[in-house]
Amino acid sequence: MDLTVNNVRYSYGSKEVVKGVSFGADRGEVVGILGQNGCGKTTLLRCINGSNKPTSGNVVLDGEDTSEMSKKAIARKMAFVTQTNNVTFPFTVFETVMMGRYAHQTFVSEESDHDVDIVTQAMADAGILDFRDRRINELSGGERRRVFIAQALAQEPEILLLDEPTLHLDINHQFDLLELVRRLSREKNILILIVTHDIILASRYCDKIVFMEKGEIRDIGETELVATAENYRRIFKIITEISQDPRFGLDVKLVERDHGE
Amino acid sequence: MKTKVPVMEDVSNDGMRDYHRRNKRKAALIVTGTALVLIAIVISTMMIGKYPLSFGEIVGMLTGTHYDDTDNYILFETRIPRILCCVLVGAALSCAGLVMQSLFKNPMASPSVLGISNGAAFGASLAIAFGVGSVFGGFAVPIMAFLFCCLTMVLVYVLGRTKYGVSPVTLLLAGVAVGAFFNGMVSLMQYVVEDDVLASIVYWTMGSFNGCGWTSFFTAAIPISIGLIMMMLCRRELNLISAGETQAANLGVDVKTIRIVLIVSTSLVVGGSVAISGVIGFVGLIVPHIFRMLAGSDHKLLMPLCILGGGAFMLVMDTISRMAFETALPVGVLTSLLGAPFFVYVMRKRSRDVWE
Repeated sequence: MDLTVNNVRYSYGSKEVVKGVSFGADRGEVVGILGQNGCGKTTLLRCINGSNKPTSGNVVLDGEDTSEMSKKAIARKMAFVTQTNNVTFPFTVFETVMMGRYAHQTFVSEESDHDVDIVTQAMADAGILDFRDRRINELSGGERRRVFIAQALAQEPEILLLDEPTLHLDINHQFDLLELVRRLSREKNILILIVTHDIILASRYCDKIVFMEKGEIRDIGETELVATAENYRRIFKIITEISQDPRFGLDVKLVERDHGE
Repeated sequence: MKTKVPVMEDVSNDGMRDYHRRNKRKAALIVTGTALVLIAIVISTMMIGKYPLSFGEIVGMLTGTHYDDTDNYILFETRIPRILCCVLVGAALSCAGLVMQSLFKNPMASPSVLGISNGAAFGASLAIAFGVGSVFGGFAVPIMAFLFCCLTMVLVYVLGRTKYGVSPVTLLLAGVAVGAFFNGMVSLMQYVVEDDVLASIVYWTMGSFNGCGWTSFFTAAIPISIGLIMMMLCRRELNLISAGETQAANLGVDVKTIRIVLIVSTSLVVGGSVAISGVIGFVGLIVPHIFRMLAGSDHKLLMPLCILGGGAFMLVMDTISRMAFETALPVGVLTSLLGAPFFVYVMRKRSRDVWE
């Protein structure tokens, strides 16, 4: 496995939020992490990229324990698009995306043409080429999100962590983003972990799904095998109908809340 | 977000490379322009004074073709060291303000606004009045100023911190409280010391270059140069940290280490400045703001601009305070008179960023 999460636990003070999570994933996969609010999804992502140091357990990346790696070494392999980004100073979009190159630069190096090319590609992929001179504080929430996705792509990551990537995006940009995600995983062989609430899009675009509840994994596996009506009823208390649609694959229809028992 | 790229003249890599080069040229132009302004001001201030010197005389003295005891003494023993001190302190305070604004993500931050200068002043007063730190010999005053700078910065940072991070408001309030405390301590000290020491402390808390000669310059040059070099090396990290610490860490910045480096370097430059010129307020607020408006948020550009422009600003202020009145006014009085309205202006203009 390229990325292995070994029995990771994490507590905020005395409250344990992640309670012994283990799973593995390989490059080229799109893995969705689904669960209700407060189930520890975001905390798990923060443990994976080393922002949070697990209380016990570890994360192994290509055979190396991430707690032994420098921040820069991690950032060269792994990018993380967080839910919110606050902005104080009016950097331009180009400058912001260029920050993604930090881990590849040294103390004294200048930004090279190579860096500029990668930033250009990242901005094209995120559809923000024509924003380059705009100030980051003048953009809408959805536009800003795409800037930070471009910033993550400029890191040339092998593993991309996305926390609620479709939040604030209109429906067209949601599709664009998820198609980009699929393309990156297939063409560039990137492992993509997506934390999301969107059951429908996750079922369509993820190869694997991890269902989390109260800090633990409830089910994990190939999307066709685990995206079942039974799991949605058990974990989300939602009645669904699952079917295969020849046009796009797995279709999840939300029927109603489960008021039973 | 797919390949549907908007059709523009510059979607190709070459277009973006040109764009990047154009930006770099623009940056180089701004820096050169500011450097020329500084040089022009340096030359003018060599000429201006109670004892005016002509441009020809100055060129003559600098090249060794003109010699006159009085002229040479005025230029080499009075004006040049004073000019160098002004440039050094102006650069130091401006960069300190720039770094503090970026580190604390607070556009209102500066050494005097956050009480850091007051802390340094107290440390230096201890050295002046009671000889505390005499083990450091000739460097007792700057070293005490530096140590109290570090202490004050950490104190303000810790007090201003809430469990949600450092909010601009709590940070400013912590700065006000800590600054007032150290101000009070300096006043208390003025109350207990002998009259002659009192005069020197009082004059010095107002901030002035009147006593600055070659000794002052060499005292301050070492800590300030070290501090400025440290800051320059962190220019890229400053960009990332000023754009958000969480994101900076995700992009590979070792935020904790960089934060310590920046606090130490800021203390070095503020300590060095306060040691020779006392407390000169608001320079660290005014100068970075002018350049942020002019040149954006990139520290690769802002740092050299604050060094050059801060020096030029301080020289102008010092020359006005030296020449505009019958007796030389402490320059700190002038910068405060100018800085307070500027503070209000920034507060009104940036109110959204500060209070949100």
